[in-house]
Amino acid sequence: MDKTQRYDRQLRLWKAHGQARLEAARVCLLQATAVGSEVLKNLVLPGVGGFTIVDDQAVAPSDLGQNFFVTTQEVGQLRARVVTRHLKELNEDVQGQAVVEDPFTFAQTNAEALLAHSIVVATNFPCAHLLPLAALCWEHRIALVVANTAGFMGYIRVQVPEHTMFETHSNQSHDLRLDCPFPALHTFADSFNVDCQDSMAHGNIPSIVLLLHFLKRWRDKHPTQTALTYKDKKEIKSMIEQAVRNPNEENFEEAAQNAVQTLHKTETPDQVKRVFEHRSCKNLHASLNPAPFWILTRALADFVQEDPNGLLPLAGSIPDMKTDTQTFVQLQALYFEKAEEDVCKVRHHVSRLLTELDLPPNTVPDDDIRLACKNAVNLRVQWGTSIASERNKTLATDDLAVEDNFLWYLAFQTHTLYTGRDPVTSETVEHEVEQLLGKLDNSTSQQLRAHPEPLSSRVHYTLNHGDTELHNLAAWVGGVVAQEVVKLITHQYVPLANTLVVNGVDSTTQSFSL
Amino acid sequence: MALDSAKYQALYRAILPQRFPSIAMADVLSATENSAATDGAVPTAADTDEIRRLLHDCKVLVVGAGGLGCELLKDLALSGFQDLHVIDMDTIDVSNLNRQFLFRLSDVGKPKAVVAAAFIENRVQGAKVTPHYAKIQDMADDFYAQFQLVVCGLDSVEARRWMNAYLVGQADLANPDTIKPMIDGGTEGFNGQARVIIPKITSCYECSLDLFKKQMVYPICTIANTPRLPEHCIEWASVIAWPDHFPDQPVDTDNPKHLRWLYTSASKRAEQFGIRGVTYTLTQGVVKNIIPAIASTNAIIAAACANEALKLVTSCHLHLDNYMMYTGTEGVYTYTYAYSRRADCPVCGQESKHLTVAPQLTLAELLDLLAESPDIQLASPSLRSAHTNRSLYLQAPPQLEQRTRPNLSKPLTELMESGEEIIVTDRRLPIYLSLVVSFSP
Repeated sequence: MDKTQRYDRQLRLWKAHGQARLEAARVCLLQATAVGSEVLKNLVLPGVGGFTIVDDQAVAPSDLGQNFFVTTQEVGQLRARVVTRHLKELNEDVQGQAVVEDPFTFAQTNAEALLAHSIVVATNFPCAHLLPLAALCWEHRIALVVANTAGFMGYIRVQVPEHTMFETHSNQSHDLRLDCPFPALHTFADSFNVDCQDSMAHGNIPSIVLLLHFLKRWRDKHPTQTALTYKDKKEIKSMIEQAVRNPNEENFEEAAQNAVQTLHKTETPDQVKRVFEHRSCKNLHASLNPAPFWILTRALADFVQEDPNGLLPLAGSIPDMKTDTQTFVQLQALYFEKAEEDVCKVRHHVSRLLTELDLPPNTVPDDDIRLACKNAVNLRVQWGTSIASERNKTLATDDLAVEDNFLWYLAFQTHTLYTGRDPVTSETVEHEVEQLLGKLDNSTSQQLRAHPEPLSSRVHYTLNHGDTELHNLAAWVGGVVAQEVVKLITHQYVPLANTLVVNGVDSTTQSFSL
Repeated sequence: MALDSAKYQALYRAILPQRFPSIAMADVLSATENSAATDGAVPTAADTDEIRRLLHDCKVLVVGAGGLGCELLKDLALSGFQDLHVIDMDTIDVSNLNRQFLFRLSDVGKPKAVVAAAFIENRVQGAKVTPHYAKIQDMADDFYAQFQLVVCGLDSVEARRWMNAYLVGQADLANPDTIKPMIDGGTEGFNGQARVIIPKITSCYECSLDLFKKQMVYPICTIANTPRLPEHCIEWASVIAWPDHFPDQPVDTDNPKHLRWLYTSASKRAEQFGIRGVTYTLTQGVVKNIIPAIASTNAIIAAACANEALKLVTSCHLHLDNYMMYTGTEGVYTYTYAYSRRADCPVCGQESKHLTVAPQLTLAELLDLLAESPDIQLASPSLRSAHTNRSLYLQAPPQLEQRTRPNLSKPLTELMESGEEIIVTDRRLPIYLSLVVSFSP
């Protein structure tokens, strides 16, 4: 089977190295619920390395209307095995394993087996069992995703102590360095005569060169100024517009159009600086077994220290622009070569660091060094919070408390606390509401105490529907969880931080950092 | 040019209860509006006989049996819909298997609609799924007339525009049976959108045409003379080199031999010009206009669409009004809002579209303008004067095309008065656009 063909539509997003990470990952699902089965379906299809389903229930008639991966004929058989069998049919390259054990106590009884996985997904988990599981995953730095649904409502919580990224795929404009052209670019730009008489040549000067030229002209007039204001950029823009000789000069049009956007100051983004300041980077040598990410980050920080302009490595790519082929290819090569020089310097820092740390040279593969350099401006770390700390936190959310989806978040906290299957009485609801109000700061809880109905009706709803799954909500939440798992495994794109409410009544979602 | 949406809400409430009887349950509506949580009656699988009956009686057409279509069929069947039809003109390809979970390697080459329908019927007890291995444009009016609801999971803007224009065209506010809501899903990578279109009541797909980015078109002179990007070399191979070598054979982008040829000639051209980056994958992406697609995003969007179908038909809750955008690239972010109708929408608007142009503009240039305007995008328009009914240009049949072709090079001043109403039709879309063209002074 040709994998590049089969996975073509996803390789265009996360590329071969993202796929390799996915194929090396093993996911553990606790409870073969509808939502859990949907999560795994969405991971087996793109080719996750393997999965384990921990579940000790038999397929019940109620599963039939909820879970696509059980059939009428299989009622009474073990759900873990049935779902595993149906999921494995979707992709023969994926290893699937059914473990028939109590999913709620698996973290205590089989910690070692659980920790052999890259990520754990727990679905419709009662609180009493969630806390020990969350604590174990937190301690061993394994990502945990909790997913619950109740009727038309869904809840997701991602618990990851530290998630590191270079390839966030954030929309970044090209790194052109027009405010501080490197020597080769400077020389190249100077080789053009912007006032030349030849109309063909005039119409072929690439916009980057035009921008550099008119910036210089503007600077000659304003020698004292350093940083460009918006007004300055508009002035440069109109200088370019005035220099147009005929309406066919698309290169001038392009330069004028991009002036305001591209003539910005090249800087190291604040979020990158913050990562450089983190102890894992600053005190790299103090850590016992530093992750390749932190070695790369430190190498980038050292590079910035040494760089005459204090900048990150050049990304090295340029956008298409109106000019002839030869000029464009030359210009592209200039940026490419400068980027290569920067990679070389970073590589030196990496090898020096590895020697200092007494680690083998292959600890950081060369491809990773290139990726880090190319995506240096997107360098990012998410530091998560534990579910345990969330439980003990007082929520001070004056303005959020009145919002519908925040109340749903609260209602799901009871849902996870509620373990019994007894009929929901108004006493139970009152008790749960009282517990929740205790989690809130004074003003919020007073506000809710004055009008308890919105919260108590939601608590009633989640308690009432905690046992049954609506397939659409299971599929929706299962899709979101699978996206998050892919983002966590591939270290590409930016994961949810850290809580999401999916509201199927209003067709909205809302995320909370808790 | 937003219309007053309250006006349409009122219209909607007056008409839809006849179409979907349960919507008349005004108390349910007001209850769900004020507080979603107050009524505990959630239709779990099959809770009440009423809901079961509504779902049983509702005949739904699922358009597309691809990434979204497979999910939609599963979701609708498990929601209790029992009479589903699915239409798709495609056969199964290996590259579908990373998300279209009703298909196996051994199904490659078979019609998607047929395989998907059989799988669902086999898996979900009580669900009847009727497949149609056909093009939506080829189906007759009585085919569409049998459905109460259309749910689209399409990958092309063109097909959506057709389906939307057709359903809006059939809708007659005086006859509620003709109003068929269209629920439309779309995805690209980690992002997507779901929307509910009630023909002639809410905004339609065409109202929001300018939301969707157009396919990248490279200028022909760049492709022919000054290629700079690998994409330029690939376009050269497909639009210049291929017709040169094989004048009688159009490129078949599904034929690996054709793709291989394009890749090889694009590579040669790139090498000649010193351009880097032509790969087989990129060649495929450019000539087939491939949009990245993953299982999880399809699952999210299809579930949101099926959820709307369930709400719409059972009125257990108010349905989406009318647009939800989903972004999964940076955390999770959704934006839910009522997209406004456009009074001059070529499909559902009642007002003419006004265009002011230079008087020396030729008819051919006006045609280019119609193709390029983000809110019009008519690639093969025919034009006639509304006043005299005289044809200015006709795309077909060939004799009439030939007879009207000389008009293309004429300036508009020779063909019409300033402020005259022109009727624009397009042979690929059931569209009827009234255009008032004025000349700039």
